[in-house]
Amino acid sequence: MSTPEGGRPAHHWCGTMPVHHQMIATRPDYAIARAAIENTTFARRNARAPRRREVVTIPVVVHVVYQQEAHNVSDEQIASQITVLNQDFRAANPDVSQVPAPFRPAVADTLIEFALAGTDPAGQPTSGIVRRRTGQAQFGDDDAVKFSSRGGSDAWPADRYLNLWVCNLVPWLGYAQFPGGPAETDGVVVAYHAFGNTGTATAPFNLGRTATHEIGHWLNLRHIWGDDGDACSGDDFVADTPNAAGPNFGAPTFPSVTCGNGPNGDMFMNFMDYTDDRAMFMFTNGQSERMDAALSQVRASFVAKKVLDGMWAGVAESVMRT
Amino acid sequence: MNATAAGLPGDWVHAREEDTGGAKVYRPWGHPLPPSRWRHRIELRPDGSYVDHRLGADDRSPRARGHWTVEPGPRIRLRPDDQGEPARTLEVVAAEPGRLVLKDLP
Repeated sequence: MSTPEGGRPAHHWCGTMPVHHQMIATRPDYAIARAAIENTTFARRNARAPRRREVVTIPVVVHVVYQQEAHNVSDEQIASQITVLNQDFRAANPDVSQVPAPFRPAVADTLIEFALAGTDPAGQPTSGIVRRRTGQAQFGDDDAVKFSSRGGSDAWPADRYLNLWVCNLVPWLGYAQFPGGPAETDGVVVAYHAFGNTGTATAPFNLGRTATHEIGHWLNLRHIWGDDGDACSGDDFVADTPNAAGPNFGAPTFPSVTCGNGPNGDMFMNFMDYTDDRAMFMFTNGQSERMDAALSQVRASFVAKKVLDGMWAGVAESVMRT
Repeated sequence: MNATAAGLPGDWVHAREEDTGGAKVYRPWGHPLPPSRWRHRIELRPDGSYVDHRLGADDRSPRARGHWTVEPGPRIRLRPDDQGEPARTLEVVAAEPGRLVLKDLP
């Protein structure tokens, strides 16, 4: 793990937090980075590290990669996606009022916002939108869309921008990369028909929640069912999301009980489940804490030094160092 | 494989909307289905190999490969190439043109 911007020491920690067995670890350095991130996340929680109180704004570059003009989403549609993100991550989405009463105390304003980048990597003014016509009729989950040489669009520096690719992604609605992976593929990919809440966005994935979900992964959130198939043994490493079996689809009726999690059941209205856009509308305090942990270390380059200092204030050196 | 394998080879995708009684209904890849955040897909190849498109933690579909055989029942036995992965058995509830119904067995 590299030293975060601001000159802080690398926050390795010799804990025992297991790295999830399903993490794709084709690269040893990636597995090592993932372990370090989880160790620090776990250590911050144990140490009751300070929570961030200031809003962090993430600059976003949207790469629109299209063969057919119909997939070349409009500026308006892109703006709608940014608006959705800013509502969802601030618990300012109108449908947050639908959270069932037992789960309302867990609803979190994550204090994270997003804005299209105003400056490009060369320091020039930009709209924060890159449009690339491609010869590729469609893309899969193999990262090709992230490389000009493969018909996509090259990432902007991942320590300064959240890269968001929009393309004809088949059959996925979106996929992400967890923190700690290669910079050249860092970011999220969303299908043109599941992006934003206007234009080509198509029901039931027409409210912009696919990007909310994928960016949750980008900030180190796991699926609420624990990525263990339909079993009850997996964990999302968040305490205030009930243990759940497998993903929920569609728009379930509350309560939906699995894994003995009654009476309230699965938190299927969480952004990190697999329900339809109209059926998901909350992050939890525990998830917010986990995203904070990512912003305190592996995503620290997006946080002002003063804010970062506050996130580590009073935390023992033994937690901050190996 | 043997004669009871008729109708089993194919590139199958889970049509969960059609599930009944704990059994999972699969349709051929490309069959018109509503969009979904994820659908299980399994390629049962005629040469006895298979590709299991799993659900990844980052929403991708990591592929697990192995070999499949048909056992009395009929049942499908999936033996992963990864020696660390346990074998799985699926009961074939129905195998019709364009429709395969499977049930996980412990």
